[in-house]
Amino acid sequence: MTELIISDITVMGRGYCVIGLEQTSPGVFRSVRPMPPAAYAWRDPFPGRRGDSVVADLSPAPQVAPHTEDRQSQGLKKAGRRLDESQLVSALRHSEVAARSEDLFGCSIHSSGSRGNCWVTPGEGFRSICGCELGNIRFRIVQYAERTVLRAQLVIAAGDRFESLPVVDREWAAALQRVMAHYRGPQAAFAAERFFNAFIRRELMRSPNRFARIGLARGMSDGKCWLMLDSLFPQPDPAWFQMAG
Amino acid sequence: MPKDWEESRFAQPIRDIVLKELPAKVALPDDESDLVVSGLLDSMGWVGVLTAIEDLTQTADFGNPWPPDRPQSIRALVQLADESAGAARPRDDAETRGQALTGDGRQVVLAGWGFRLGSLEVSADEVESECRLPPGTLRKGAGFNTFRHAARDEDHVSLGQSAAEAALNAAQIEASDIAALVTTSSTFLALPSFGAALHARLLLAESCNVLDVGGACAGLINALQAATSHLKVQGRGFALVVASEVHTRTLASLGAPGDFRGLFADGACAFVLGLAETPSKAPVIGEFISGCSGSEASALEATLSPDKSFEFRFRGEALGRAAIGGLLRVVEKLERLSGRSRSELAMLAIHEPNPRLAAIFARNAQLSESKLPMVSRAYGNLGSATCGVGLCLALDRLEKDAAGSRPLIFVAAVAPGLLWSGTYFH
Repeated sequence: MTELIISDITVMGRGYCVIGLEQTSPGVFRSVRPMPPAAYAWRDPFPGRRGDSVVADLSPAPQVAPHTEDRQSQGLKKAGRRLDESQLVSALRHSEVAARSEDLFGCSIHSSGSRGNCWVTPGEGFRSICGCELGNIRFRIVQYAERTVLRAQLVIAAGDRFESLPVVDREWAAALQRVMAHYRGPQAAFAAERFFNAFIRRELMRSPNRFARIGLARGMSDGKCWLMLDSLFPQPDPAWFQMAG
Repeated sequence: MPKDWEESRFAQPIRDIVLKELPAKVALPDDESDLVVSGLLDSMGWVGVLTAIEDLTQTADFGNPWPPDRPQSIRALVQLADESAGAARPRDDAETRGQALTGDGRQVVLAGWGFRLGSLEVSADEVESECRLPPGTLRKGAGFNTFRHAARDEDHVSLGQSAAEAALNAAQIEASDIAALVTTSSTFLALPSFGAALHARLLLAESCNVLDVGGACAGLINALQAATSHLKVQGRGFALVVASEVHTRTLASLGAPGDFRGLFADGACAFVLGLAETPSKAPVIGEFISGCSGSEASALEATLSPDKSFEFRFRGEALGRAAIGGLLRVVEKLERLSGRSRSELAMLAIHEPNPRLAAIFARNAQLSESKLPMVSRAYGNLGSATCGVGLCLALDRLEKDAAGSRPLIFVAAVAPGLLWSGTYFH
């Protein structure tokens, strides 16, 4: 059995993709993606939280670069231990990290324009998740007919910018829904975006736990592994969202 | 919209944009096909198309939300691009706000300002000890009490970012509203330049012009001048001016002598400039003067020698004498330029090489020392940020004291060369 600390829970279709940290030596961690039997995503509701310690019986899964962290599991069992946010971010800083975009996944990152999202070509790269220090962040709310999504423009330590990362972090996606519920009318998205970029951004930027985990989607339909903001620390504090009302 | 929509200037560029987002080896569909329903583009590809069209049409939030009665087709994209380009922009952004404020008699004003200092406060005695200077050199000789040094996790960019965000917050505008970023730093020795690094960190718009301006201790006034010129030429938008220096780390790494590096400290200041009609409640920027006299040009030399070491030549007394003389001349010129006497000054923000020289300058200029913010006594010599931090302190003080009025402030600086420059606010 392998002990993992849950580090990332991301929205993936109707379920969740989960990544955990495995300690490889004292103070050194690596990311592992335990997958449920016969699927990529864990069903909703997924009871775990970031920082929870779980144990799993892991076996090799078919390796398709860049998703080299994939492991087959029969389930995750809570181990009882739990890291608080500071401890988890500290562990993430001792896992996969990069200051430059070229070091994130070990392959070229492509973009078709200066303001859209970037992607990695399937089959390239040696990992699909990496942490980075956050220099700045700004949010954008995009409305589709059936849903509203949060996207992030961010800059990492060396000054490399990502213009439009979808925020797939389960907690931030839920926070968006909470904020949108407060606003009504045609200007709702604009008001919510202002709230995120003024109040929430300030709370994020003043936190010592400011840290981002950027992941890669599976390039199944269009031959592109799009970049995603898998985890954004600090995680949303419920107290912040009382301000939205 | 053109009667025949295919005549639209956006038709072909939008086809090119869609083609870029399609998976490799997939042909461009006809203009009527729904790109999302047909599965040719997923949501990310669709957003990529929309943001690329924002660039093309220079509009904000293009297609967000998408009109529910239209298919997500090339034809609909072209139609919407025509409508968006022809219509007023929905967002209250820099362009519309600038246009609303401009007109005959427009002036460049300070819309916001802010500064940040290195977070470590170090006593003059500690710096004397660290720089191996005789006790009393900095405290008694030069008049410093304390210095502000950057902490390990602070650098030019983080200090500049923090000062800029304070200024943007004070001006109540978004970073995306900034049309020009003008920066100065004499201790940022790297590529990308300070301006580029700060542009990235602040997540400014790609279309935001970036200028790195030199001038060492006179750099802030040069930067204000460049930003003012930009606004006068463009006639719209906002400009952000940032000066940031981390002397302690840079001078120590270059092996500068203790009697030189001991004078300096770390900090940044930032100003948001905008356009306003007369009369404006905000401080109005006057005209600029600048030049280079050449007197005592060799009093400070810092040269990268062929063996890659830095060579410093520093004659403090000669430089101090030249600085005071230069500052006095700048004040005289500003009096002539503004048509206002120094006796009318509410405050005077100067480059303070050290507190003692600032006090001598005040005495020679027949000005009360209370008219000077005396930045250097508590913070140290902040290089290009010195007169800017002084200006921020003066503006804060006057904003509290003189509600409704716009008092006169001179800003004057000198730098090795001897470069000199000045401006005024009224």
